[in-house]
Amino acid sequence: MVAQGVYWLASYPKSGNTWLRLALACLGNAGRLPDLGAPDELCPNAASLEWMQGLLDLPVGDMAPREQALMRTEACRLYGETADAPAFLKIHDAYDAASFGSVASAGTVLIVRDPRDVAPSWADHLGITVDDAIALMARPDFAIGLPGRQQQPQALQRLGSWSTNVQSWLDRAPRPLLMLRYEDLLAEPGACLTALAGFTGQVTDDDLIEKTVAATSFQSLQAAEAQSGFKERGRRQRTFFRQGRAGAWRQGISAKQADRLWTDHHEVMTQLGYGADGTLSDAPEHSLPTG
Amino acid sequence: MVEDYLLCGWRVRSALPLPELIAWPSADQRPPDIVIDEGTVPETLERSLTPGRYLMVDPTGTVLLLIADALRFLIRSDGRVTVDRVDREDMDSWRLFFLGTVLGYLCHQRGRFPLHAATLRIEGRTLAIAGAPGAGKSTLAHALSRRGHWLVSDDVTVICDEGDRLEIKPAFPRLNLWASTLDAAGVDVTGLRPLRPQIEKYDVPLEGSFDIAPLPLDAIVILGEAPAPSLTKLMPTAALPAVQAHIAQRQVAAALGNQRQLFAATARIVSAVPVYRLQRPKRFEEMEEVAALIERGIA
Repeated sequence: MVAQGVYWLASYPKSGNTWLRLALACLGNAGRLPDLGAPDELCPNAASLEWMQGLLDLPVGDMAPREQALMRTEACRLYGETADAPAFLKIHDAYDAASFGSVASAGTVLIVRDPRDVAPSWADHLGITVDDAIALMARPDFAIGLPGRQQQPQALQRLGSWSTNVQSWLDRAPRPLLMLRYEDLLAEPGACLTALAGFTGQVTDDDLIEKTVAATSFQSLQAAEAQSGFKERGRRQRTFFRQGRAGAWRQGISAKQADRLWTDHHEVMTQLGYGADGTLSDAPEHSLPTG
Repeated sequence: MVEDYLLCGWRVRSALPLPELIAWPSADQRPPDIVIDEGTVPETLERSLTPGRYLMVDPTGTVLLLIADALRFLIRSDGRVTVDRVDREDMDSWRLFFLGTVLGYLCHQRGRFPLHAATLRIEGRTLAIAGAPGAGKSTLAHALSRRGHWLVSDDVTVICDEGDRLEIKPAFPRLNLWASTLDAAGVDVTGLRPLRPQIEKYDVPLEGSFDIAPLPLDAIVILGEAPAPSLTKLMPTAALPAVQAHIAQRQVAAALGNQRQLFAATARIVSAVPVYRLQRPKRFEEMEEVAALIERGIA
């Protein structure tokens, strides 16, 4: 019997959330990659208006941000209550009990990535300079999905700064909590996916894990994107799957930019095992299933 | 003051003004089909058949719709509609939801087929352009109306099976358009009525005459997105699920037990009229090209 409720797949943007969602889809699909062009039914984005519209059958596109926030809570709640299999929801917001506390939760998978690698990836996704991305990552009031002069695909999401975002999930996320570092996912994908499957109660074997690792390698994902496109590609991006490397920041951003990120976020970075010089210390306490 | 209006062939008697609609022709003495009143609407319905708390349907067929905490609608199966404008700062929004979402519910309660589509009269043929919310139906309808074609309905298109033919009941000559669409078309939004506070979407009246006579449905176009524009006729096996996916307000239809009837109606529609898939990039730059593609393909 699978526990009811939502598994939150939480992360700041550009931290490997999409990669993990695709890996989950593979695990449930005999190790085969799903069609990248099709809507994600296994692990929807909890801010997608299309997803909310389909689940609620309510005119969410004609609602104000405050009203859409109520609809998000309702959609997450219904999704968790009606699921008969693990119900995964991707989320980039900082954890906010007022919005998500009433949603039945099965647990949280928090994905984190060295912010020095997040910054250039976020800059590419948004079509802005790395300096601007670094400034956004420091803003405690930063939000995406702001209303504008056209229909937005996503509801308002309050991200906060990179540090407050990660800290909110570490401190207050519904337990049990599994924390996965992007760098570990890359270095040891098989071990991480085995831990993830165990955490969410999915039955796997070595063969399925191996196939999933192969199907979600960056080469495979880039090839799949080249063939069918990817709906999550940013409007100003050439490709969504760009590098998929850890520590690329040493070449991709200046020493001054790396220093600025360290100054802004060193407290949380240290907690997660990211060193000033780029060394990665042992996985912190949340990285093992506790439930 | 109570006024009578014409909406998709129905006589609508409303205690609240509906300036979007055409006045009911006084020569026609038939009793009203739908009666709108303002009053207190409860927050919940007992014995609801739906899982959510913002949309409920009870076993008598009454529908309760809550637009977050701003508006409540109680829609009874006998045609009585009660509107509760809970948010007293937001007095006009009810019309947007009544003329879209609630219109879909009324169709399901009254055995009509509501398609999520904007419909236009193009070169003497009636074309329904169906798409999911946000797919760009109204934007394309706007471009086509500016090329001289008549608008028949926006958002919800009401289809009736009249035995020998499928008929569309014209709705009203207005479009709901986002500011960016109006910007791209060079239309100044000054003077246009915003549909809701905090949302840059406007009520755009269309010029020219509006014909209230029912029209035969001639074709359906399903909107999709792709890098290059193309118009392809669908095989019946593909047309059936494509049309079915664009039935408006399906959760209410299911709660009312209408699925079998809607399936039969969809089968009848795809056997009677051609269904096309229109792929195009969602960019304003290609809009005229796409509009021309529709004109050529349908004519």
